[in-house]
Amino acid sequence: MRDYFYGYPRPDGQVGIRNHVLLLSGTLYANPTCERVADIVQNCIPIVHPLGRCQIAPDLAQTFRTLVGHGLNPNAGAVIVVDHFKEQGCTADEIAQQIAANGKPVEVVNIRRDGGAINALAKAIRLAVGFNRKINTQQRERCPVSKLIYGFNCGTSDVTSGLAHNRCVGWVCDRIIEAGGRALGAEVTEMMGGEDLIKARAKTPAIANKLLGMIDKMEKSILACGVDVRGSQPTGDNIAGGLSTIEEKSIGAMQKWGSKPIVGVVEYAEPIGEESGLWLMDTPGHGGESITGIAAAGSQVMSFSTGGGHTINHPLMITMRLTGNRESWQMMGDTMEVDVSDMFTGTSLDVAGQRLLDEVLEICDGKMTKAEALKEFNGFAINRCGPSV
Amino acid sequence: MSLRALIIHGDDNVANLIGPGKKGEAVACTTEGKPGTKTINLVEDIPTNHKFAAVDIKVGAPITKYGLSIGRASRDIRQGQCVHVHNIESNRCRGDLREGATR
Repeated sequence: MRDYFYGYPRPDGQVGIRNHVLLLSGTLYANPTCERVADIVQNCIPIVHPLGRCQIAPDLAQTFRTLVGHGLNPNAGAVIVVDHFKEQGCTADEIAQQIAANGKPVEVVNIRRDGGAINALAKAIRLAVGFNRKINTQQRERCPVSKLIYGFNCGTSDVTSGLAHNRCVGWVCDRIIEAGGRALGAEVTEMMGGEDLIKARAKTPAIANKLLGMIDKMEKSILACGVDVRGSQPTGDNIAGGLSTIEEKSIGAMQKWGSKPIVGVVEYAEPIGEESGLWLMDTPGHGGESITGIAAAGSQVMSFSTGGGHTINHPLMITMRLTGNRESWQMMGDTMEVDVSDMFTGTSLDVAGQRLLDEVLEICDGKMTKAEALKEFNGFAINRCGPSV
Repeated sequence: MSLRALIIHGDDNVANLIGPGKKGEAVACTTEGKPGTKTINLVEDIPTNHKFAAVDIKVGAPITKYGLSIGRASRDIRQGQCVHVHNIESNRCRGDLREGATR
């Protein structure tokens, strides 16, 4: 297989597949500034969210870690962090400090300190123009596939998920790991019922136990609500697509894991280790929260496999979508990149998997995904572990 | 060659239809990738890509797909009947089955 792609090496050793200026909002009230800069200035990606204030400490720490992780994601060539006054424990200054430590160009805009909404916007626009002129002199270089963190996730699953497209994702995970790279999955809710598979796949019993503990915690939090989870997991569209139980959905979802050992497990939005292999993160099944955790860990590219079709697209971690459901391909083709529905008419896993891998590597080289071209930036959502207070 | 129905693991008691199925249709199943292992008559219409029973299944018995349990039968199911949320249920996350549950 092709064992290289053309990317942007960063000072910290990571390699980006895009070279964007990131407008990173520290808090709800800085969102419009980030969005307006991205409307006005080319090559800017806004990261906006409703958090950053009035959160209990562990929850705020998770938000902070997620935002810092996006600043450090190698698809950002430079970062402008925007906040509006002072958010204890999650200030733009604190976020920027963490990003600057890795050698990435970063600046801060504070709406109050910089003289209000209009002056802050003007400052952010000038910074974004300057960063564009600075970082766009960098050329793509040939880099080994071992530099990839291949993110994967699934959503709007149906019966075809476990039979076709998820198996293709697993096939690509195997090839990327064989080339020395890392694959990173998540979605703990969708491991329920797959405990035996986890025990068989984990490199050590400690890794298996950590994952089983995460599943148990997730299940207890659902049980504590005192309701039947059906309709939420599996979702209404899962059930319409023929999936009857969370166990069936889980085992189908775990077909994305390929065949290599699980070498490590991390908390939500935590960086993963250097070891090549299959890594897993503690996230819920919620697509936006799950892929955002993976992006914060530094994944450059994601395959999102879907039965019903999807528009999900993380703004910074380049997200491509595939399906094995021919009808979904026909209905949702505006935002789908790869069709593997011919697996049901005799195409082998090797052929369909290679089709996916070819597309993933071309996207790493700079080929735009459809949702990227359409600016369908709908996949950023930070997971919460506490109430708003 | 178009696949008509898959029994993913030899131990499975459900098969996955590919496309829709009509009552009375004799469906040739592919088991663990080997075609024509078993022919099952559908005893009712089956929606696109849904599951049907590969054998008779008693109420309370585990439902097995991928060689693993995906839940249990909530009523008796005959070979060739549709298998879905109306006749099987999950063993996981059932807060509704706990004492004091809201619904």
